[in-house]
Amino acid sequence: MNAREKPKASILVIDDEQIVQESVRRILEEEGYREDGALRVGRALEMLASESYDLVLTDLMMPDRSGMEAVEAVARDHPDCGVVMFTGYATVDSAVESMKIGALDYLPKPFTPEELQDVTHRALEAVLKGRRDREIEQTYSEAESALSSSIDLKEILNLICSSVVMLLKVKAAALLMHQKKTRTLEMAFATGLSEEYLLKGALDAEKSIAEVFYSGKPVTIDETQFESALQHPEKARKEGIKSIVSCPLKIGENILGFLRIYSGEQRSFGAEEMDLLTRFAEQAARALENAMAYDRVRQDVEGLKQYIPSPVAKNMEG
Amino acid sequence: MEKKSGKVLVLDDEQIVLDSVKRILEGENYEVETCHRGDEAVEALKKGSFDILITDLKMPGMDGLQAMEALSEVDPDLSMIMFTAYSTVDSAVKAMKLGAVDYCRKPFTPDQLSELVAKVMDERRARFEKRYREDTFAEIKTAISSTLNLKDVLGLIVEGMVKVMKVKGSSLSLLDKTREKLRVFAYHGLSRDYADKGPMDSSKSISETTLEGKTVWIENAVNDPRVQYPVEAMREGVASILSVPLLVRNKVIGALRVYTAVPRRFSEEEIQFLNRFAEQVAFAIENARSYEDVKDEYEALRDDLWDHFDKAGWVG
Repeated sequence: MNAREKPKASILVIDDEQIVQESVRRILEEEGYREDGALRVGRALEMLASESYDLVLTDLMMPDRSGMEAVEAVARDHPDCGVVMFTGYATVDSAVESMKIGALDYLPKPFTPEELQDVTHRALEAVLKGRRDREIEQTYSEAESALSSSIDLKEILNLICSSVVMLLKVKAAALLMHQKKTRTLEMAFATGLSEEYLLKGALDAEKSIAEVFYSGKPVTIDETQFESALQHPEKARKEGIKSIVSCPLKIGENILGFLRIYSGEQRSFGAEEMDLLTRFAEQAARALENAMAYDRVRQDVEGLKQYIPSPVAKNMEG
Repeated sequence: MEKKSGKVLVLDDEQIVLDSVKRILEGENYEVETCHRGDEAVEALKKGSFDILITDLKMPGMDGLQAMEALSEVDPDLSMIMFTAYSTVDSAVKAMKLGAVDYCRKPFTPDQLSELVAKVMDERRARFEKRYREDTFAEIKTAISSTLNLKDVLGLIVEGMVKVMKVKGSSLSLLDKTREKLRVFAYHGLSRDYADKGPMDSSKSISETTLEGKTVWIENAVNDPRVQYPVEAMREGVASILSVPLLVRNKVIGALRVYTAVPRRFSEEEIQFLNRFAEQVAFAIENARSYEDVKDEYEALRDDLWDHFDKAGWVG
């Protein structure tokens, strides 16, 4: 892998020896990372408070405070940042202790540039993975709270689509409701799609996503399958859609409709993402069912109001 | 001394070590199983569940690190401790990266071993408690969001609270229209007498604090001046009470309470959890109420319409 392909992670190096710090920073710089340095733990903690870093590499023995304090502070106060300890006085005790309190790795000095690169690379991968997992958990629980906070149909439709776009980082999302009488799927709400694409009309439920219908599981369609799987492949291409995932909205065995997500880039959705989508779709289906029940009664009320002669209506308002 | 329990799997190629660890830990009331080889340990773990693994590092065949890797694949929740007479920085770092909770030197004293195992068991309990709460909460939320019937929603909430908080009883009160009195709308694990003991004056006691949107913890209901009905609490066998507000868009609509049979504290985590629980279910209550309101409106309209076309009351 060359340096340009790596994300430009930022790394803070804490070491009281200028010469060690400089050589570590030079190695990191050559790898394409943004690097910064501190000669004291106290100074490093100030820097951590004002700047955000992806990784901290800290020495153990330093004159003001021990590197152990830096490990502790990063683990406690900066969950989005990783920390690795390196030391010229490597002992089993400090290795175990530092990793118990949150260090991702422990590297005895002296080390080769390759060893440093390797440790840094793996630590950053763990940091990014942890961050992404927390982010998904956070977005998911926010979406879940939002879905349960309303019973208004329009609001729920909007929340489902906008939440799933954020959750799976896709271009667009749509809700297609199953019309049992006409056996069609009607677009109830969409976000991120053009007017033109939306106006392509009702879809034949039997044809369009029959597969999802019968399996009850989400199905992915990528660009190469558009011709055989979509009713309007040319329109999807024009819209810049590369892949579509359709996930059924089920209450028990009853399918209310589908939640569709549209990706603007060639992308395969992993098992974890599919699982997340399925979990979200379950929540969405219940919220939708409740909002639809509420909406039906609301409409019945409006329907009745039409028949009420004005004097009666006035009485009621009073 | 509190009775200890838990299952420990010990892996070491030396019989004398296995024997002494077994003797020490059985003396502390743990169940202990011993293995000489890594593959035996994997088999043992596949057959039965264990809380803790204690493993040696250097062994013929599969070494301790390889065994840890294989065992944590079988059970990712297994807490692993490595003991070795040949400790090195390298193997310590490897063991910790593989997920060991500790790495210790041999020889060790019986006290060191017992203390360490007890500490790891405590950490496990706390972790599983937390997971139990989260999993149970998810189930409760699913059940609640599957209905719009207000009575069902309230029932699921109070029942869920008892289950998730592992307490004697729970109650849910809602504010009346004047916003002065909290009235109990649902309860679980409490007698009808206690639940119906009368309205709670919201200008007094716990209720006042609840209405300010704050959490109240009463360690002992029988002698706490903030409790409005201490005699009833004593008769009911209620010791501690934890009360949290039900808030919808920053407005208090009622309160959730849990009751314990023995006086106890609630951890910061439990209190935060109950507040989060309240926050989520408050919306479910609001949604169910909105639904009932619109249904009532529909029925009232239908009746009015009926009256209008049938002024003489011939039909109805």
